[in-house]
Amino acid sequence: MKQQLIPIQIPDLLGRVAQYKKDGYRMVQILCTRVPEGYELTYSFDKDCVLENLRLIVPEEGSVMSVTSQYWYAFVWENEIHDLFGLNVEFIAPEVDYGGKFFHLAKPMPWHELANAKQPASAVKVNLRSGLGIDASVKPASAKPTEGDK
Amino acid sequence: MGKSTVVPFGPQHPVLPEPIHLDLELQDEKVVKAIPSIGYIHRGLEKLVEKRGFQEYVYIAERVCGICSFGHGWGYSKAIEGLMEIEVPRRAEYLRTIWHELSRLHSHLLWVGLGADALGFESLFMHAWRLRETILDMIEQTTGGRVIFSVCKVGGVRRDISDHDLKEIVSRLEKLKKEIDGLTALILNDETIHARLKGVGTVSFEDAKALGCVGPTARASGVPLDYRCGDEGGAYKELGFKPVTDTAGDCFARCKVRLLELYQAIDLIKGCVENMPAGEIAVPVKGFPPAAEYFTRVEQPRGEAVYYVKGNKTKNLERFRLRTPTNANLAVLVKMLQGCDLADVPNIILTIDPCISCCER
Amino acid sequence: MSYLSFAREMLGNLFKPPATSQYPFKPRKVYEADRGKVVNDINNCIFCGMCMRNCPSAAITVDRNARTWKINRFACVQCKECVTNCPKKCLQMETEYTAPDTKKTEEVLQGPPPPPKPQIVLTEAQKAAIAAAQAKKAAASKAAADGTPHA
Repeated sequence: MKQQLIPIQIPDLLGRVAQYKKDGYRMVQILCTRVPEGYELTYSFDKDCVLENLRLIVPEEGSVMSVTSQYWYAFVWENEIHDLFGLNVEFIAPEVDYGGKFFHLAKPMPWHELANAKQPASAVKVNLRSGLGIDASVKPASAKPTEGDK
Repeated sequence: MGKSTVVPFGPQHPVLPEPIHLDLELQDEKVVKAIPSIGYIHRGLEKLVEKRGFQEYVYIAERVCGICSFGHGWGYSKAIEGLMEIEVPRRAEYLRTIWHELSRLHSHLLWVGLGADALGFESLFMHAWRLRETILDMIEQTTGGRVIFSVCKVGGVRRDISDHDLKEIVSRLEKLKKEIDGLTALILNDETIHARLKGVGTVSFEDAKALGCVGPTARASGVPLDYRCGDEGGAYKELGFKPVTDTAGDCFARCKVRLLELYQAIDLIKGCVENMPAGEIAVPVKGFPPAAEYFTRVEQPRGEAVYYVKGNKTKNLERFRLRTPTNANLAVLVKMLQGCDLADVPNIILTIDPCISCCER
Repeated sequence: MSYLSFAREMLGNLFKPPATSQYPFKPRKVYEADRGKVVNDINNCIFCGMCMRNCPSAAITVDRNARTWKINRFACVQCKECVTNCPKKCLQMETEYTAPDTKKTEEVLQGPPPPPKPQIVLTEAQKAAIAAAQAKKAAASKAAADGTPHA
């Protein structure tokens, strides 16, 4: 599948999206990746099984306009991006702007930090094998009482 | 002026297979507005890709959902194969198609059972799941697992199906077809089911296009949206494929589309078995994914799912994104619920075939 | 339109045997492809740790120096990656699942002590050749230290 990726700037977004809507494209998804410069947004559109993508880089403190004026159903992804990444999406259609309450989360904006960001000094390196609820009295192989009654 | 109340629906409700919360604003008995909120089954699986190598992540991608599990494993493998430009042998593609269509059969039969349960028709629920057991037995015989197959990997598949097993699959599906005939006749002709499903939750053709729904939800409104028409992976191009559509756009039409897709899946499996090419089932994968990105799509039982991978030359991917069909159908659900009766809410939610664990990975 | 369309099926079900399998009175049907639990032939294991590195759920721990192989059976997802990647093919997947238990314990297998390293016996000719090469190397390094070019 040919991968069409068109980089654009923030002011061009709504114009391009409106053009796609006029040409009869269907919006497939809005994707957000956290990069060192801020956020990398990808808007995907599809017509006749061919995918075209718009690529946009938003700085960390910036915000982006909502496309719900053109594609109403984009509110799902825009609310999700706001809740998970903390990116401010402005002017979502009022009846579907859930104001941060769309995604129930224990910790707000869990995906806001960069993947390999420097961990703070107090962070503890987690041993993947501990905490599995393993009993302290580990039975050695020579005395296998209950395990493996075949 | 009617009385206005807010009724919380979910996250626990007997008809829901997975938890989702909806705040229903009611005016007397009619729903005026529905406010969804999700996150009850969010496991952060997209973030886990930074900690698990790209080849072992297949097992995690499979476990995003229990019903559409093979499709997720296939979509992820397809995305990595596109990113690393690996050519998968034709036999592996045909095997993947067979397992994916078996997955579609079991998913639609599961949905028929849940839909009947939502109506209160428990006997039909048990009957449909009894038929589903035949499919699960076939899957267990060929892959080793009933629900999580663990048979797809980057570069191909891990197990082969012998000719004897392929013939057995075809003969068992022939027997199953007769039982599905009985099931379909029952559902499409019963008076009570008509009364509960016809005219409920109607989505017109224009609305279906404007609301971006996918899968049987869109096809029941007349939009011929099926990614299997354009899929380069799998055997669909060679088998010739036409989507099943209906024009009514109500709950009954969505039910009918899924029942007809059962027959289509059986025909596709028979076509794959007849034309199965000989050859390898996997190619070795060397090296790490390059610093590039790739989009691919798979037609899951619930609709089109989009897989995006971005590599960065190390063992772990930089980003993996899965946009599932239920994620795309949430908007049409919110629209459908406006103006319906409170008693119809469970039926409407079930007709989009909600797989919330896919929706929130 | 029909009413009571399920009636015929229901009446038939009154006289048919149950559709479910009568476990535990009858044994469960086991397929050859089934994935139950992983077992290790510890005498052939070389403790390379490939299984540990490839396990997606971090269920296996291998200690090369202590020659132990541990598996947490309740964390294992029966994916068979370890079995596929084992270089000595000492891991096998059995069809029977782990027995239920009230506590999550790890199963530890202690391997035998490492086989002794084979003794290398040198012939007289090999010893003489090694001595001559060592002498030549000592002379070359002495010449380099003195600053004279090596002939």
